[in-house]
Amino acid sequence: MAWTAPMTAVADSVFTAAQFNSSVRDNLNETGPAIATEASRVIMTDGANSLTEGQILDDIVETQETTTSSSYTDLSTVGPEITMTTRSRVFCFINANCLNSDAANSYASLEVSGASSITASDTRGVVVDLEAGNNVRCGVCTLLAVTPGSNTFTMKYRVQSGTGTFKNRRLIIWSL
Amino acid sequence: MAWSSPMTAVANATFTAAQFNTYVRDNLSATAPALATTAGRHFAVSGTNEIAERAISEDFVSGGTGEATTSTSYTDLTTTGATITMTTGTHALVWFVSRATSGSATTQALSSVAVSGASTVAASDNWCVIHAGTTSTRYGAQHLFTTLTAGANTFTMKFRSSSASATATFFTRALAVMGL
Repeated sequence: MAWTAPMTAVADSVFTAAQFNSSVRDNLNETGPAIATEASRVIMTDGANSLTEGQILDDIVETQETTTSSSYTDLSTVGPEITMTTRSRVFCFINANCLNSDAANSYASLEVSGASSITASDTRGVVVDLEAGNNVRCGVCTLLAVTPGSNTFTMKYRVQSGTGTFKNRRLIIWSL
Repeated sequence: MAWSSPMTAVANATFTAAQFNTYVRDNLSATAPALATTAGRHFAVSGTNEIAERAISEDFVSGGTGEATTSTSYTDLTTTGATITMTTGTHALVWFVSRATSGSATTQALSSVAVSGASTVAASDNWCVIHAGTTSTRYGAQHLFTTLTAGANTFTMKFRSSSASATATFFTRALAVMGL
């Protein structure tokens, strides 16, 4: 049942069962405790007078893997990757340990598929430029507009040149 | 008081004080306005039909002209931290940033986050920031802790060098924690 503005009681009027059900029962069923199902979710607004649970999920691929591709691609182990039902915005956190065999850039970014179609891009990823063979680990966060529905978020990788090596790859997605 | 699924009223039935107390008083006492204590906080689910007020906090350490270590295992610097203690559930989202140099072009300066108190989680390279090179740079990383013990948890930044013969130097350090 949707939330309705609670009735205003009037002195000497009968308080009916229907009024209780609409103004008390149904409204209580729209509150945080009524919709809470799984620990560690965040209570978020879903529209006017409407709440929902917001999920925060993560996926991890620790394995060290390489690519020489200059366009975004998967590594031997795809991901990390998260599939979740989202509304129209998500907060994305991308973290990876990156190095390059040459003094060239290595990149880690994010692609969205499913309800949305968003290709990986340098504008929302990690870009690392180091001495050949040295490595850094860092992360970025992006607030992304997506098409509501089931979306799959997948980290993708590329290099400017040389061989890029990536490990300790972590993706966090928060559905807003 | 715990939440109870609200009763359905029946026409012409008596609405008792006990029913009011259970379905109106106690249920309202479990909702966000009843639990809200401090501005700027949010609500996380703490169990089925249960929510809890959670905080977002930040700590900053300037590090002065730099604090250094040659330890190859995670340790505290001269000034411990950044550090935050807060009540969380089993999850917490952390952001941590440091400005650092690694001492040489081929070694690294690493910073991570450990958890103590209700939980015991050691700092790890699996969630760390790695700086490399002799020019100081500032950037960070994020991590979602998912296996905490609910309660008062202390999040502390820890630091190490990749080589005992290289001095990793850390300047400004910041840590933000969102309890879930």
